[in-house]
Amino acid sequence: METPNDTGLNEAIRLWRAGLADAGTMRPADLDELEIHLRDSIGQLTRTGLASEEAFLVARRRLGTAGGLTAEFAKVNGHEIWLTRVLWMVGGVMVALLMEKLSSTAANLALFANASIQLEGQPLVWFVLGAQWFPAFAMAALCWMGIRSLPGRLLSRAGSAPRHPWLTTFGAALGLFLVTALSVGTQVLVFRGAGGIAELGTVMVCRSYAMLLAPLVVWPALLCWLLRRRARSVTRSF
Amino acid sequence: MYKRPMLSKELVAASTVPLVLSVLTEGESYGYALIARVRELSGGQIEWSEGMLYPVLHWMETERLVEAEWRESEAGRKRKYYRISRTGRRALADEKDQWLAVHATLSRLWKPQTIPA
Repeated sequence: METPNDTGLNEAIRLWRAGLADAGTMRPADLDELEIHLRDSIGQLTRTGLASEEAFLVARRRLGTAGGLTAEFAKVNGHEIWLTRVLWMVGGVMVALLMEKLSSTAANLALFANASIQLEGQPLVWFVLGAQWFPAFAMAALCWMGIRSLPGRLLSRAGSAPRHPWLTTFGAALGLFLVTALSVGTQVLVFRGAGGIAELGTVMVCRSYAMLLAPLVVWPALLCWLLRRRARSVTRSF
Repeated sequence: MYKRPMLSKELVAASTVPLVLSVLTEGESYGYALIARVRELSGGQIEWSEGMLYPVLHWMETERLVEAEWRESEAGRKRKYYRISRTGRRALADEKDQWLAVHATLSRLWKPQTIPA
């Protein structure tokens, strides 16, 4: 009998591991190694006659307190903790960018729709502002609710993104590209609708292409670089 | 609670690396077995807070003192095995000189009759 295999014990080990993971200073491979150690220790103790619950308590105590362990791992994993934080920041900036593009698309559509409503002056300004800000807030709220209600399985799928740096980067770039294309497309629509000032329209569109394409290249490139750095430094787990 | 006298925190910190390297010269090993071996050899006088060994092992891995590999044991359990590297052997030789110097000096002080004339 190598591993005592009861559900209660496995649940206790799962909770212990989740508690350590929450501190965010240990990599999955670190947790795997500690869990194997804990199970070895429990196996040894049960062979000397301890019940599995007692064995778990003794083995956990011998391994060290959660505070002590996370602090010690933080000392050796400092570099990776930093990389992970920046990675999520870049992810956040990209999500913000995505929302900005979608809300400006909404504003453009509102301007285009105005051609038939014929608003002018103050009402037009409020109309466009509302069309841009309302979708932005709505999307932020949806994102927040969506992430909170995401089932654990999907959330861990999202967490595995760093293990597929090229795929993740490609997906992010494609997503940004599509949304930017939509935003630019609606802007062209607006200028077409404006008629008369066609020349100014061309200039404006060129300028926005330059402004919109820069983040399309810069952010995914930064994301890719970070993901690859991280993939290199993470010890191969099983 | 009765506590047998054990190594001070500072001494444990200083001796972990040479102890791990020395045990690994006996052949590759994994965390749990390393701790058991040190406990056995020291007659229970050296008792690590077990989890603290792993950050040290990982630091030794980045310093290339040891090489590590995830592998399946005969019992079918995945484990991370550590093995001493060439750099590790050099580091151990240096450590050995230093520890022996301290040991020799203290021995002479504590056994006056053995001091050479």
